[in-house]
Amino acid sequence: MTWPVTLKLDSAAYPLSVVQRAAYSLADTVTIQVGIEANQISLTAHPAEARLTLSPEQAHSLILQHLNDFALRDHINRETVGLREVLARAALAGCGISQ
Amino acid sequence: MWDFPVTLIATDAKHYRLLPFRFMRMNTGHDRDILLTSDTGEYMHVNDAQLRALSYFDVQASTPFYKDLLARHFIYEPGRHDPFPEMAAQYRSRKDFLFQGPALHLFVVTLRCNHTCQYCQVSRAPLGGSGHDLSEADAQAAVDRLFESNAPALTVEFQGGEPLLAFERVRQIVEWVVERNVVEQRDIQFVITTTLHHLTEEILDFAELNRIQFSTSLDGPAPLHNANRPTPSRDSYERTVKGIQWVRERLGHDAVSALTTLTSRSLEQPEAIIDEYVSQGFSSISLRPLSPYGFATKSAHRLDYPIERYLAFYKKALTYLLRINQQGVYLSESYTSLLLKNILTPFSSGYVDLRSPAGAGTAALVYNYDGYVYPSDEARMLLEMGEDGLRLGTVQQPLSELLASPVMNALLASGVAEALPGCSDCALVPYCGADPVEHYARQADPIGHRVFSSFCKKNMGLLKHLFGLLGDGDDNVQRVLLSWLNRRSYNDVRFPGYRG
Repeated sequence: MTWPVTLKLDSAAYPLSVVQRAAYSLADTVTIQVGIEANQISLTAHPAEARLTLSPEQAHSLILQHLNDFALRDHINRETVGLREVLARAALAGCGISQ
Repeated sequence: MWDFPVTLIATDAKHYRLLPFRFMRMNTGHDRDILLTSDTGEYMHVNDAQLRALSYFDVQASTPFYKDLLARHFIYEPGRHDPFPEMAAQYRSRKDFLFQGPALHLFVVTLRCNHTCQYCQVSRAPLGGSGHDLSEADAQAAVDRLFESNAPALTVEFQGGEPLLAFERVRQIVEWVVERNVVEQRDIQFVITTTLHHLTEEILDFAELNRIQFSTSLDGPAPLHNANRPTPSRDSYERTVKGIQWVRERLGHDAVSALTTLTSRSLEQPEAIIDEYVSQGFSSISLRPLSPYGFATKSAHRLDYPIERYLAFYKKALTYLLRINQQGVYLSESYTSLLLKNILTPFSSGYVDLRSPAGAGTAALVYNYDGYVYPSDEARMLLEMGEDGLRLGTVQQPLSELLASPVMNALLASGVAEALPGCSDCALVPYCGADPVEHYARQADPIGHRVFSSFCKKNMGLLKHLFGLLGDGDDNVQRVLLSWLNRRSYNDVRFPGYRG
């Protein structure tokens, strides 16, 4: 495997928002170009800096792990949608920018 | 408690439902390497299989893991168990600082100073400089602003420059505040942040009368302190230490505390800095990294360091502190104590930098020598770098107007950590804060990119290290950490956990 590292993803398994969050979180390690073709999302990753010690294989694994973690976070957020807001609204009733 | 209806309905066969939580891989190499945290600050360590089972409703109800998840509010059982009232109460406790106005009021009575520190975080003017002192009219207006805050406990802190060079203004402000407080009946604490070089018997008499605390800077042993803080007479360390002793003789041992500023050369000698604090009899040390403000930025190429170097220093210093505390010395690291409070108690430390929404303006106000009001000390430091965009207004404007200023709106819009890119997915966010002023200073963007943020790297590094220490099962280390949290001696803290 050589740089750039490329991945082709099924957008049903990895929605665009998941891919974008993963790319954002890895910005200090790899710079990722995201492309969309039909039902596929393509990623092209380059080292974020010349002195990166990560091999292309390690970068591939790291990107996949982040994609899977953000897909799981997306699932958790969908299962709990609205609850965070309900909690904050109930807990913080009556406060604003207080004097 | 609810002013609107909340109905939780189970529509399928799942025997439990998820409550909002975040997770993070800690990269410790341990089996249960994943940290789960809830919005109320509860946490658990789990492995990959447990995380997937939890997320996909596959945890068996009879297991201890299931009971833990229920008890810590990661899941609930619709129709059988309503966790929301308890969670709302916990959430409210963690954010209770939002229910009161600014409590910390900093009066910059002068910018004049006798030091010429290259890294100076607050900037200064020459000793005899004119036009760098707070006027009487502005000081009086600032006292009015102070009492417009509804906070029941107020801290009045005098900063500089060197505030003792403008002691008559300090005296005036204290007297006005004391007089007003006969009617106001607030709990007021006065603090003077000073080198202690300009102490006099008269100042100490006044401090004794008004129970004024002193906060000074001690960077380590004499060679380090004097190199960091040059004066024409090259005796900054000796004069500060003499001042510490004098305050203690007159006002008591705890009337003076000290802060450390860490320059690049400080990072090479953690043990020497700590030993200096032990020999001076302090019970707390603050190992804070250099800030990118004031003159510090101009000298950054010589004095600044990557945050990774600071983290390596911190870990080494903390290891040494943990060891000497086990040997009977009581010396806590103050930032560690604040983080421990955020992790281990249902309450927030209240520390301005660790608040979300951000503490700038909502927790603290700075009345600058020029009559302008800033949301934090760091924001006014930017002024000396030529950046005046972060001022809230003038001290003559009412507090309600200052807190409704466009700058406050901008800070709040970028100051809710739970809603910021990167932070919103971070499992450490319940224990952390947002610091839009620092991000504005470092990245020219109050939101900033967390992956490149020194604030984020510092707090993530420290929090991960503390979670590691709390989780590694070393009872002696945990006893020291608990002694700092409870401000009790090591021997007074029982072994953590159950001892049958």
